[in-house]
Amino acid sequence: MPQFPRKFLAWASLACVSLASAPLYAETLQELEALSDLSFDETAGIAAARAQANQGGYLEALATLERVLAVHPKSHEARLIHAIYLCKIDDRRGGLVEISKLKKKHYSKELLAESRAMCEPAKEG
Amino acid sequence: MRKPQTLFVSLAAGSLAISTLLAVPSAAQQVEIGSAATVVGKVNISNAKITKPRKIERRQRIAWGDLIGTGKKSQLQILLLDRSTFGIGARSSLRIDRFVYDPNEGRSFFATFFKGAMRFFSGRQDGANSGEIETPAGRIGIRGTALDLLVGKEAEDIAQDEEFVGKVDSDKGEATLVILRGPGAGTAGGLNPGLVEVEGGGNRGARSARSCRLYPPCRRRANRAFLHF
Repeated sequence: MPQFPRKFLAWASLACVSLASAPLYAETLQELEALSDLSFDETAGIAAARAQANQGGYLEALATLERVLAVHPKSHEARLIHAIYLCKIDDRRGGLVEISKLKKKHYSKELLAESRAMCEPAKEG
Repeated sequence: MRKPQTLFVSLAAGSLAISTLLAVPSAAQQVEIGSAATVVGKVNISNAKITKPRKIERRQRIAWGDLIGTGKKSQLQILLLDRSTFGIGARSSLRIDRFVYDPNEGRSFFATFFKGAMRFFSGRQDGANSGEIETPAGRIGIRGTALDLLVGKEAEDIAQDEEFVGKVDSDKGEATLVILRGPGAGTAGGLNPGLVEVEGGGNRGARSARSCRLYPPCRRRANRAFLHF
């Protein structure tokens, strides 16, 4: 199983994913269904979550990732991003618990360390 | 006779005035408010028309008054019109009694959570958004929130491991654990911090904490409330 590279974190936090056809801001039942359809594809679902997060929609991104994980429970990428986004909404304890439960063989040490660091409270001074 | 209610609240819980009581449509009218975004395992739906629970399919529309029940190792996520979601875990039961969404005004809802585990994520952040969830032990008002809710024996088991609750003697069917996951004050994305108000069923005078400073238990354990009778 390949490990995720360190630059994955940069993608998770900074990459602006273009999903021109994805109805990320759905407001009709048809659009909602199209949005939920994205989650059936692991890559598209994660990309949608990142795009939502890049717009500040971390709660919606978490919900999207939970749909991905319901369909793809072994998505290591979705699990890690889910943990990071929990930290982003200031549920640092929850995020760290999720990171601690990740199977280390799927992630590099550096990536896990960076992820944990993102969940630590900012140091003052 | 019920034992005196004990209420533990932590993190920012704000007073939330939920006063939206809209006209209830006739029984024949189906007000569709969302759809089943993911369905895993055995998930059933019933309502005034479907009196015998029927298996729910992904993409199935969810309407006012639909009663959702999940079986063992099952789960469902309901995606609502404002992109809020209800994630329902195994052996759980939820009914969305009312959901009103106006893209220009905001959203309000009232749901009843009977048992099991659920997670709620707020959707659109702009507008006036509010919601209420009735549980066997009391009512929870929420706004702009990621919230976990457990009702039943599991809630009691988990709560008893929490330092701020300790040993309690409660009705296992009614024990309710509320966990406000966020957004906290340090949230990214410019989200509004989540607010929760917990009100016991037998005590209409809401006991809510407006901040950790006003309610000592939250200094030890953030984001948790436990209700029991």
